[in-house]
Amino acid sequence: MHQARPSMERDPCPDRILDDIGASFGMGAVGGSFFHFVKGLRNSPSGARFAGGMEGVRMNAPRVAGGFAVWCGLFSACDCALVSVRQKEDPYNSIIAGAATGGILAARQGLRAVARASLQGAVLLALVSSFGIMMNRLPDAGSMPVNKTETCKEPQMPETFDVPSTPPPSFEYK
Amino acid sequence: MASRIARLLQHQNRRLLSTAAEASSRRPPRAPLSGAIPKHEVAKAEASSLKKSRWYMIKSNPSSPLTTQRESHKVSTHLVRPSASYSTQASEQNPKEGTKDLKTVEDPFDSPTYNIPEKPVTFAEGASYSLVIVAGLGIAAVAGYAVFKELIFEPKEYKIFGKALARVQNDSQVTAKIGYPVTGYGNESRNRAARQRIPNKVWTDEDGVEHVEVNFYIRGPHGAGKVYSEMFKDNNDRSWKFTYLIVEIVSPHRVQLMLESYVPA
Repeated sequence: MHQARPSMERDPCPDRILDDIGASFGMGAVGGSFFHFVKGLRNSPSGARFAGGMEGVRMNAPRVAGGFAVWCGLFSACDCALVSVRQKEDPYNSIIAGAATGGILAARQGLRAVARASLQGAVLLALVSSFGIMMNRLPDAGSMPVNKTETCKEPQMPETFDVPSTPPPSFEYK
Repeated sequence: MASRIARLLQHQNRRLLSTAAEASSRRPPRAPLSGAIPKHEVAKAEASSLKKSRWYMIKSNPSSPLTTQRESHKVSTHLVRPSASYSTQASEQNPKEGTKDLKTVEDPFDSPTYNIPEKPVTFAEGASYSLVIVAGLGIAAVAGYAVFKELIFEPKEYKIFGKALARVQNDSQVTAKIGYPVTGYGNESRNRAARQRIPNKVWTDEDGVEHVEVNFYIRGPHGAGKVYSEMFKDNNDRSWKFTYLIVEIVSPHRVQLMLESYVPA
C-alpha cells in the first residue's frame, strides 16, 4: 500500500552545496544588476542615463554575484559539516554555520576582525531563523482553539506526515 | 581713529629706520678712498654721502618723478635745492596711503555668516520625526523579542525532538537495522528551512498536563524511517516523560518498533 518514496530520497548535503552556490550567484546577479543599474542611472548626466546604468551593471554586477556565491557556498558547506557532526538538523546549525562563515572569510584580517565578523554572521542568521520560526508558529497559534475543542484522548497526527493506513496490531520487540 | 593713525606713523618711522640702516651699511666701502684725500675734500665727500642717503630715503617712495630727479642728480651736483620740495610732496602723499590702510583693516570684520536667521522646527515636522524614531525602536524590539523567544529560550518542540532523537540514536534495535550514525530532520525536502522545521502539536489535557507531539524523519547509512513521539510534562517531578515513541523503519525493510510506552500507575 504505502509507496517506498522516502527510500528514493537521498541525503541532500554534498549536492546541496553546489545548488546553493548556483542559486545564490543567481540572486546576487539579479539583485546586484538592479541595484547598480539604478545607481548608475541616478549618477549619470541627463542624456546618458541609460548608458550609465548599463555601465554600472557591467562593472559591478559580477562582483556582487561572486560575493554572494562565495558566502552562501561556504555557509552551505559549514551547515553540511554540522549536520554530519551533530546528527540533527535544527536552527542552531544555521546560526553556528553563519558564525563560522563570517569568521573564515575574515581570517586574513586578524583575530579582532574574525570575532566581529563571526558575531555579525551569527546575529544575521539568528534573526532570519527566529523570524522563520515565528512565522511558522502563527498558524499553530490560530489553531489552538480547535485543539482545545477536540477530544484529547485521540490526538490527531499533523497533516505534513504520512500517517500509516492501518496500524498493525502487534509490535516486534527485537 | 587716533590710535590707528599713531600706528600708521610708527609704521612709517620703521620704514625710515630701515632705510637709514641701508645707508649706514653702504658707507664702509668708501672709507679707504677717503683716506688718500685731504681733509677739506673728506668733508665734501661726507656731505655728498649725506645727500645720497637723503636720495635713498626718498627712493623708498614709489613715486616716479623722484627717480628721474635721482638720475639728474648723478649728472650734476649743483642741483641739490629742488630735492627739498620733492620731499615735501612725498610727505603730502602719505595721508592718502593711510586712508587706504584703514579701509583694508575694516574689511575682515564684515562677514555674512552673522546674518543667518534661526527658524524653529514646526510641530508637525517634529512629530513626524518622533513617529519615525518610535517605529524604528518598535522594529528593534520585535527583532530582539523574536530572537530571545525562539532561540535563546529553546522552544518545546526542539527540546522534545532532541530527547526523542537521542533515545532513537542510542537504541540498538534501530542502529542494527539502518546503521549507526542516525541523523534526524523534520521534512523530506532540499530546503534548509523546511528540513529544520519539526512538525509538532502542543496541547493541554483536562488534568492540566502539557503534551507535546513531534514527528520527524531519521536516516542512517543503510536505511531511513519515521519517528512518532509524544511527551508530557509530569506535574509531580516537573520532568518530561514519554507517552509513546514509535519508530517506523521504511527501508531496507518495513518494520515498526515501539521503544517507549507510558503505562500510568
